[in-house]
Amino acid sequence: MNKYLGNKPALALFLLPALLLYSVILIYPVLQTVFRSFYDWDGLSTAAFAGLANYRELFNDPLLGTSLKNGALFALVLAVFQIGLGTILALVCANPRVRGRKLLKTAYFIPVVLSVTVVCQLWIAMYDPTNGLVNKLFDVLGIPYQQNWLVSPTQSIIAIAFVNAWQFMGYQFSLLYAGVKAVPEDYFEAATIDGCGKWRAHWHVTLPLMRETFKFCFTIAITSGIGAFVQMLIMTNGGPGTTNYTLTFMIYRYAFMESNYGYACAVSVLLVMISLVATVVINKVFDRGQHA
Amino acid sequence: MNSKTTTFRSIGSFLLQIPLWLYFIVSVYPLFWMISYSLKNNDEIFVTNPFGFPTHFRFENYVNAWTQFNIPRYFMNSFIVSIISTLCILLLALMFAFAVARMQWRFRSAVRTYMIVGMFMPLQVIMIPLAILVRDFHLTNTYGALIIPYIAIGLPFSTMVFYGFLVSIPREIEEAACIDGASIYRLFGQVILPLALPAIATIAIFQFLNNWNEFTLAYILISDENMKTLPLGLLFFQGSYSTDWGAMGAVMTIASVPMVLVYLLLSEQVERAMTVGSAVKG
Amino acid sequence: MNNQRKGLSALMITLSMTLVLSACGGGNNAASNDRTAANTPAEGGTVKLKVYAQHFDDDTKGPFDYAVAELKKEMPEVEIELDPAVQDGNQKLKTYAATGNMPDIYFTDWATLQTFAKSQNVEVLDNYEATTEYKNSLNPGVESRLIAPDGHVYAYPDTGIEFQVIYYNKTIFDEVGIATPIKTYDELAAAAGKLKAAGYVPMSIFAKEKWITSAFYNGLVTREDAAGFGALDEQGLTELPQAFVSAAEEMEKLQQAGLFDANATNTNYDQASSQFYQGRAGMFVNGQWEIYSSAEKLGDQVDWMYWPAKDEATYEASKYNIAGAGSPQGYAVSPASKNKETAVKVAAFLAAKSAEYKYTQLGSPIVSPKTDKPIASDVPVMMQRIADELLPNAKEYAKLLSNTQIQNAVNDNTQNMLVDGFTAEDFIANLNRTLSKENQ
Repeated sequence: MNKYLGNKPALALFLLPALLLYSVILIYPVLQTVFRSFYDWDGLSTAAFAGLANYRELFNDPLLGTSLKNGALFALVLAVFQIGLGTILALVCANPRVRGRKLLKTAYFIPVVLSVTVVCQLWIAMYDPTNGLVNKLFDVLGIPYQQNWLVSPTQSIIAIAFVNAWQFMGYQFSLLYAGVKAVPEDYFEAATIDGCGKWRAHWHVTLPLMRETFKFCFTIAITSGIGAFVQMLIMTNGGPGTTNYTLTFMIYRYAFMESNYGYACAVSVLLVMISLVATVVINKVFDRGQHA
Repeated sequence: MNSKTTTFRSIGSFLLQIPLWLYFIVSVYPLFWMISYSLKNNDEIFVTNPFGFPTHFRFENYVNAWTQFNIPRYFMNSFIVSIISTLCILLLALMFAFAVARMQWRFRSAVRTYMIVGMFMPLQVIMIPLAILVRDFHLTNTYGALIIPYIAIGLPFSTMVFYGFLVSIPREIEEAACIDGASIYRLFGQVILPLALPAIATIAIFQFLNNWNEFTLAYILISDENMKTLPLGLLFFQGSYSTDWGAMGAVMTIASVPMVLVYLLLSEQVERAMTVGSAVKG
Repeated sequence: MNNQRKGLSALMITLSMTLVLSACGGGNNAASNDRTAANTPAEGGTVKLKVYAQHFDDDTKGPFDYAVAELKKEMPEVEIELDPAVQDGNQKLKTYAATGNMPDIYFTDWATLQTFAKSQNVEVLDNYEATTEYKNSLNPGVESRLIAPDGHVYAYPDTGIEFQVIYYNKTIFDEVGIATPIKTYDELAAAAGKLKAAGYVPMSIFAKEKWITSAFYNGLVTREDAAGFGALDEQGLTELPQAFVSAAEEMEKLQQAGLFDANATNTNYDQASSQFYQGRAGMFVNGQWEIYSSAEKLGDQVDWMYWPAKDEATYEASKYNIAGAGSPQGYAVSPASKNKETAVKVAAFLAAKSAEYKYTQLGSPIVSPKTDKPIASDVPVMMQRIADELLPNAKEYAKLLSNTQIQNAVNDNTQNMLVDGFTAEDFIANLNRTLSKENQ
């Protein structure tokens, strides 16, 4: 068996194409980025070796705190909203007794199909303090919660994260749905026959069996939160001031607005490190759950 | 089960379904909004009628969009680039994930982690090294200038998802294949591949969409008019001071509606594949 | 089985393709080959020049197409290949520079010219004959548009020094009862109160773009220090000068008086101009270039005013301080161009003809080189006022701030000034931090 699954030529054939292409096109630029992060470089002229100067500057940069905080909030909103709602909807839609589930499933995916620009434009209008539907909704519901959503520093990042979370919920939903479908139905039926309620059966049987799905769903949600950028660029342009900055926004600013490419590379290295650590932690957390 | 509890249950489940349909509206509304948007002018979009149905259909936005640039050409380019890169991503990622998730060799987990690193690097910072690579490979202004980077960029995500699916398939499958004397290629092609169909279909939709909507790389790497993809068409409506949002809406509608249709068709397949998949597994 | 074989052969193709790709990865000589192949003079003496210039709407197409048509008459041997640029913060141009794929001639701004000067991606034009001619043809006061702070010439400008003014809707002002001209900040704040009470947005501003909040602040600063932001570009200056401090305090007061809409920092140009042109806003702040569309949309209901100041005396004294600085920009030439000599001539020619179009066809007196042809016949009244009242009396233009870090800090913090709860003290503290870092 081990010999069968350790077939060397087959292994090479399966691994090498992806590895080669990936290494040349992505990892090589990544390595260059790491290398350049030790230089004082504008992206074009001859670079001057600067040792750890970029990193030292980075840890004193007031933008770093803002960006880390915003990244964390963004990731949190994505994880809670997308995976929470996505899981519930996936479980419901997998239930053959729910009427119109095919239509529902298709509908939930629609925002994903639209371009980010369209969705952001829609939500800019929704969040408008005077004409926006969000404030009107609170008004109609009688909740005195009129906000200038995209202006206030803490609220705006959550409001923007929500837009991203909402648009790509369908993404996570379809992954989770595929995960639910991959759990053999008799497991679930056995649990319900044993007297478990429907949701308890899901909690004790379906969800634990979806561990691998949750692993990558969380990885996607958390790391795309940490690296978020486009929504801020379109919706508030990082502002007011720099209140909506994230790590990627910093990179964009230093690389393109200030021609401080070496420094932008240092920020990128930090971003990759944080994302990697997050991935490892997520994996550890889910693996520990397995043994417990 | 007596009839009273059944009625009670069905009312209950009907009430439970209300949130599902509310969320349905929240999900479908943007499509309606985008189409309305594409039939309005700037004043209507921003000031007079941001949310409602257009009071006056401004089809001239479509005429405008159509005459500004060669939409069929851009459309075809987008299609070629997206379809080729998606197919390559699927094949390469599935093979890679199979080798990592099912085959037995040292350094598996190291290689798996290695494959993820690229997913975190923001495009903005690798853009210039990437542009230099594209030049060195003589790919500038060819489909390859987009296809090759799109494949590479699509790989980390796709392999991660495929890995998650493949790793949860029971071990007995290989044992059976081994006992049957099937080669490892047959195991991959005739056993694993059908089992992974739901994941393949899901990833296919994701990657196709990503590549279809990709703007930044296409903008930086393509300057030849004949090679441009659809998202670049949006640039035609940004003036020095003012932007023609309605016409941009028209381009976005032209770009999205086919995607919605493709999704409707594919999701049917996904559903069928999933039913088959779980039947085999169960 | 058949399917499987097909799959495998496709796989082999991909595999060999990646091998080929990685094999030529180290070949840097490919790049230099590309460069020489780019623009070889074709037979028959034609010179092909690649031009990267803005060309995406009527405002940018008109002048460029005119200039190219004129070039055909003047230098028929030159063939222009246009690579249309869009507003992308010069990302694409920088990628061209990084990949050694520079166009022969390109249009760009001072921030990019600075980087390109350091990396030798822009030809220094000081000693070209075309430069001497261009210098002689300049309109008075616009030297800073051509000659960079370091004394070199990098690009040929077409437009003159642009500046910002405040537009106002005369009908709304009459209706609400605001006396013009508004001369002091107190009057402006009072006007804001009246407009707001009557349900108007007092001043629409597209503050989603940070440069306009900066420009507004610069308008206030230049009332007391004519140099404007240029004064910040000074070694050893680590604290915000008095004129800047009081301008920040005044801006905070105006914001508190409700001059700007609560959602101003999320308002783009189309929204802000729409508010003004739909008669929902009393005032609008933008560059002098807005005169054309505002005259078109609002006719004689609209006019521009001078920037108010802290008191009437200051207002009168600083009336003709122009709230705009001349930064070098325009058509530049790549030193890698195979036909550099021709390219320099063509760059100067394109700039001059583009200016000529703006002067003779659009009636804009804000151009760098003089034109011997008459100005367009239908100049809007507001532009006529600029030509008659402002330009001849122009005392001083603001000075250029070349340091992008300081400029970005000013942009960020002036935008913040429009948000409730952000105070002038915050503003001053943040800028002092940047100044002490950059000007040490």
